[in-house]
Amino acid sequence: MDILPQLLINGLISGSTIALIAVGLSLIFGVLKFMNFAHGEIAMLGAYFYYYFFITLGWPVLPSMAITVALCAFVGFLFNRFIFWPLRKESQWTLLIVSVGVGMLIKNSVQLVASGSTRTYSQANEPSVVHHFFGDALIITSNQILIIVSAFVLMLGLFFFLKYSKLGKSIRALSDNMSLAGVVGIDIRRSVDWIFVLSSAIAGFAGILIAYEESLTPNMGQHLSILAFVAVILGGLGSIPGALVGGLLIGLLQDVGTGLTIGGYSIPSSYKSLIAFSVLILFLLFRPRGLFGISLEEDKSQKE
Amino acid sequence: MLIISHLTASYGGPTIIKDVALEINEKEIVTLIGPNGAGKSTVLRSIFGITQLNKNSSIRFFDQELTGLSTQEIVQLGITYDPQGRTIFPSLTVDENLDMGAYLLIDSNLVRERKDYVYKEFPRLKERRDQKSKTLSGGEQQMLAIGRCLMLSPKLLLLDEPSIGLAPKIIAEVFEKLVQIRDSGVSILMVEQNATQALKISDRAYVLELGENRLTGTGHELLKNPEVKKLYLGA
Repeated sequence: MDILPQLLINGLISGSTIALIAVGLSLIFGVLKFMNFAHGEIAMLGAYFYYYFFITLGWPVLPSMAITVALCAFVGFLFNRFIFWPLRKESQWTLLIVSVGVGMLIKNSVQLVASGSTRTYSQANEPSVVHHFFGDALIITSNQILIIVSAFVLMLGLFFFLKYSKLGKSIRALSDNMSLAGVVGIDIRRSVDWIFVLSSAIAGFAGILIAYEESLTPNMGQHLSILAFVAVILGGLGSIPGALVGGLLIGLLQDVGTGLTIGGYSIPSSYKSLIAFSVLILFLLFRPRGLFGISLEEDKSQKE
Repeated sequence: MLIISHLTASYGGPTIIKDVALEINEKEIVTLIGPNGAGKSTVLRSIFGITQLNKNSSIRFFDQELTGLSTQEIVQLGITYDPQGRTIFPSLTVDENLDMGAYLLIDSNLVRERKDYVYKEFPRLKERRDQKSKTLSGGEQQMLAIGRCLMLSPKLLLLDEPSIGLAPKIIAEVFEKLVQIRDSGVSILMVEQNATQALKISDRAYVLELGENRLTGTGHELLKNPEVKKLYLGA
């Protein structure tokens, strides 16, 4: 059990980044009522943009991050404006399939430009400063601390934005009742644009964090889309706090589940996805509404 | 203040209303009654620019032609609309619902002022201001929908079946509130299935049938009209 603190921290790191992607997925689902399977690809794109500016061009950290986030936001905006928004009246299945296609488009474009090989940020990085806690029971690098802190700051910021700002309130109003939102004078197209910009910016940033912790491959996006999807189902469709909690839980369950040895049995870490999908299936079977959400059948805001 | 003439509208398919004419004066409650499918709601939607109008259609609000304007422009001219009985943003709190009613208002002092006014008119809403609106009772939700429409201090309020799904006692409360709102200077155009109670508080009313004007008169005239009695009042 003495590795539990380490597992919890590892889980928190991967969970907080999944949560950031899941929250965008949830926001998009809230307004257009479809699961955007291209969303994880935006995170992958963010990881690669950052690689280009930070490693290839050798820019400092902050400007590289700023331009990466801006580019991801712009890509999200374009995909919405030219693909998802024009298709908004189609069934959610059409949109879902289209999003899978968009995801492949992004993935293959990156593969074409950057090649499919695995990369890391560490080649230009000095070895990260390592902090020890409780003797050697818990080892955290400075990067990891920064990842957790920035992910939580971002989540908190998003929470206050949605809770108190006018745009944030109108985004929630829009996911509650889109036609009524139009009637009170909310510019729906503009608000949906903002949701894509915001979600994509956050996903792009999450992609950078993930690539710092793991490595970059063009395949990472698909995996992230699916994990974020599981997080959204776990937290409950339509619930923003649910997506955050769901993301954190998935991260924790994966790391703790594969790290613990109980009575001589353990799950190898290459089977992390087994845990995520078992959770998904169990929730769909026994609690389709997730932890905080409403089930699809009850979602009266479904498309008419 | 509002003059509708030759209103012919559809949703892109068959014509729903044909050549409808009606008029609303200041400080008046005007009710549209008629059987299901008569096109009553379509009249309200047409005023709000969410139907396709035939080019002869005219909707004049004071000196302004409304046809072709965007929803935002219409709201800004002083018309607010409650689409279909008890329309609220369920996961938003009462207070946030009112904020959304004032979405087009930039001045936050004015928003606060209007909110105070709505809370004064509907003290129950004030008690529940931080509750999610889906936890309110049906009557309270309807009051919230009306309160939301008042946030822009409109000149004309469009209500689509404000009494739907409410208990008779609550309906009486809602209608009493509508009379007060009219007396404060706001005109109301509403669509109602509950014709008897609606006609009692209406200054004038129109009967629509199959998308066309059928009858018109004051609320009391129509209440006594044998044909209306037979068809819509269940007498």
